[in-house]
Amino acid sequence: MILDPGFECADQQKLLDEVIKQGLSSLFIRVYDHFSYYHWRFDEAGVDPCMDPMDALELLPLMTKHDYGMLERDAFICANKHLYHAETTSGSTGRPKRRFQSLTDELNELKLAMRVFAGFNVSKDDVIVFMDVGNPSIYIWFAKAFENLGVKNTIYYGIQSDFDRSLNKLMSLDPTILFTVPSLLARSYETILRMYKENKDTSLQKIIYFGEKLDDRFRKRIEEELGVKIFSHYGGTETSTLGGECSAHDGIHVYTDVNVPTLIDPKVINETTQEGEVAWTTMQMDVQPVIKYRIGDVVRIDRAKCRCGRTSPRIKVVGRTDEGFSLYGEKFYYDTFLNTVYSNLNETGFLQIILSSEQNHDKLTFILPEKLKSKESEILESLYYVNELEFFLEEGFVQLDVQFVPGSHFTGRKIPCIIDHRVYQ
Amino acid sequence: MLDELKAIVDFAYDNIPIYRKLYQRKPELNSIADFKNLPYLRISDFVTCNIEEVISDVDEVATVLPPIENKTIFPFPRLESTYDRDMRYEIFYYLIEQTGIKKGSSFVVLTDSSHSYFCGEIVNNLLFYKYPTSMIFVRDHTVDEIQEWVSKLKPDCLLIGIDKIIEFSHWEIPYIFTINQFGKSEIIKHFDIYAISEIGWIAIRTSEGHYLYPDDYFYVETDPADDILVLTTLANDLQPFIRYKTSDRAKLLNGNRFQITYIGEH
Repeated sequence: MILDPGFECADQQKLLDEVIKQGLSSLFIRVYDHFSYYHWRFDEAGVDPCMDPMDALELLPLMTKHDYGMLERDAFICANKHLYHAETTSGSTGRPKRRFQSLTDELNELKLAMRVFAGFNVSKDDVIVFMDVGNPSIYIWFAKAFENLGVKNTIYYGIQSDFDRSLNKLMSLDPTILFTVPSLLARSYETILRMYKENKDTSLQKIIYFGEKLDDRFRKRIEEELGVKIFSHYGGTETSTLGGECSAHDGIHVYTDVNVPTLIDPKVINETTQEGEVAWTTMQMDVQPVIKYRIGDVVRIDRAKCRCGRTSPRIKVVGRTDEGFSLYGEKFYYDTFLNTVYSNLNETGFLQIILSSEQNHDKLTFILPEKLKSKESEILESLYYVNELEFFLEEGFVQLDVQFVPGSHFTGRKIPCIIDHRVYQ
Repeated sequence: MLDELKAIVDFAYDNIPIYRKLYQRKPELNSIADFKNLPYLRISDFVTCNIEEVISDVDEVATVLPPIENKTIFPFPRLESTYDRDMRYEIFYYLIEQTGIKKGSSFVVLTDSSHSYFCGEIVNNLLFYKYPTSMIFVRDHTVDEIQEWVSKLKPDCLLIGIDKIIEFSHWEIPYIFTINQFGKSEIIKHFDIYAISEIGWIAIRTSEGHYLYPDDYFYVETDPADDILVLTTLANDLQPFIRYKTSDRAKLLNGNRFQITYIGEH
C-alpha cells in the first residue's frame, strides 16, 4: 500500500524544486540561529544559511558521531518545556549519545513510520507481536504507527534467554507479523522453528526486522522454512526512521522529501545507481536535526522507479564504516570499550575485540596486552558496567572473556580492532 | 535523617538555580524543624524556569521519564541521570518486594496510547528484575476481547494502565496491579502503585490498604493546612525535589506508610 503517493511517487526533480529545497532552506536558517555547533560550521565553511540550499549542502562539512555530541546541550535547552522524550545509545566516546525529542518530533516521525509500515502491506486484521528482551519504548512508537494505520492488535512480548520457556506463549498469540531484531531472531530461531513445525495451523505471514543487518543466507532460510515474507525497517537513533522495504523486495525506499542522503565520493554502478558512504540530512526533526551526518553505512542508491510504483530512491546497505558492532540491536562502539578498559589505568593502550556466537549467546572476547593481567578483575568489572551491556550480561545474552597476549600481538602487524565471527544461519 | 536532608539541601542550593531562587540564601539546617521551615516547592516555581534551571547538570541527563498519561500539568518531563535511573529501579524493586509475589511471576501489562510510555518503563523494570512480561496495547477492544488476549498469556499478575473501566474481578488472575487507583479495593490481591510524573513511582498499596514507601528514598510530610502530600527525594542528584507540594492528599500513618485520600490532577 502506498500511503502518500503525492510524495512517494512524485517526479524527483519536481520534489527537489518544490519540497526539498524549501525544506533545506528552512532547516539551515533554523539551525544557524539555534545551535552554536551549526553556527560555527556554517561560518567556517563560508555558508550563508540563506544562500541556495543545494550549494549550501554541498559546501557544509560532514558531521561525525563526535560532532553529534556537540548538538546535545543546545538541543536540550531549545527543547525546554517541549522536551518529550530522549533516545540514548552507548555512544562512541564512552558516554551515552542522546537525541532529545519534542512532541512535534514524535508526531513527525510517526508520519514517516506510517508511510514505511504501509509499504509492508499490513492490514487492520493483522496481529503484530514485537519480540525483544528489554526496553519496549521503540516498539511503543512502532505500535502507535501501526495503530494509526488501523491495526488493532499489537503486543509487546518480552523474552529472556531461556527461549524454550520464554517463547511458549507465543503460539497462543498466533501473530501474523513478528517484529524483532535479527540477532534475537537468530538466537531464538531454532525454538521458533520447532514451535512452528509442531503447530501447522498458524497465521504467521511476515517478519519485520530493524536495528541491524540480516544475513542474506539466514533471511533465505527463514523465508523458506517458515514460509514468510521478510521486510526491513531502516533508521538510526540519530535520524529516526529513514525508510523500509516494499513488497517488491528490491531495496529500502527512503523518502527524500523528509531526509536527504548525500553520498561521499560516490562510485557509479550504472545509469541509475551509485555506491558510497551515506550522510543524512534530516529536514523534519524539530529538536535535534542533523546535516550530512555519517551514520556509518555504505549504501548503494538506485534512483530508478521501483516495480511497486514508487519513485523514491531505494538503498541497499552494503557495509559499515565505523568501528562498532551491534548486540541484539543495541549499538556499541570500539572506543566505548577502549575508554572503559583504560579509564582507571592512567594510560592508553591496545585492545582487540572478537565477537563470536556460542549456542545460546554472543561472546565478547577482549584481547589485551599481558602487562594488564594484574588488573584483570578491575577491567572486567569496568566492562560489566558499560552502558546497556550490563543488562545483556545479567540476562545471559552475552558472555565476556578477557585474554592477555604478548605486546607483539598488537605491534608486530596491523590488526583489526574488531573481528566479528558471528554467523546467524 | 537530618544529615541526609542537609546534604540534599546543600547540594540543591549549590547546583540548581531554582533552589537558589526559592531560598534566596543558603539554608542552615540544625534540626528537622529547620528543614520543615523551608518553603514548599510548588509547580508554579517551575513554570517560570527554563529547563536548565531545574537540574544540576545538563550533561548528566540520561533519561527522560515519560509522564504517566502522556500529559502532565508539570511543565517539564522527569529528568534523570544514570544514578537517578538506577535509584528508580531500586525503588521499583522495593515496591514489588512488598507484594510478596514469587520471583519470576509472569506479568501482562494492559496499556493504551495515553499510558504506553510510562507502562513501557514498568515493563522495562519488570524484565530487568526477571519477571517475564508482555504488554497489550488496548484500542477500541471490548472487555471480552481484552480478556481473551490476556487469557492467551495466562499471567500471574495483570497490571492495568488504561483509561477504560473494566471489571476484572472474575478474570481469575492471582494478582492485579493498578496505577493511582487509590479507592479501597474489594479484591484482596490488588496492589496499587502511587506515582507522579515528575518523580516516578513512590509507594504501593498492599492488601492492608495503606501505601508503603521506601524511606531510604523519600522523606514524606503533609501540609497541616490542607493535608497535601509533601515529598522530598533523598536519592536524586540531577533533579531532586525538596518539600515538593504534590496535588494529592494523604494521612501519614506510623512507619513508612500513608493513606491517600485524594489524587489531584497530575
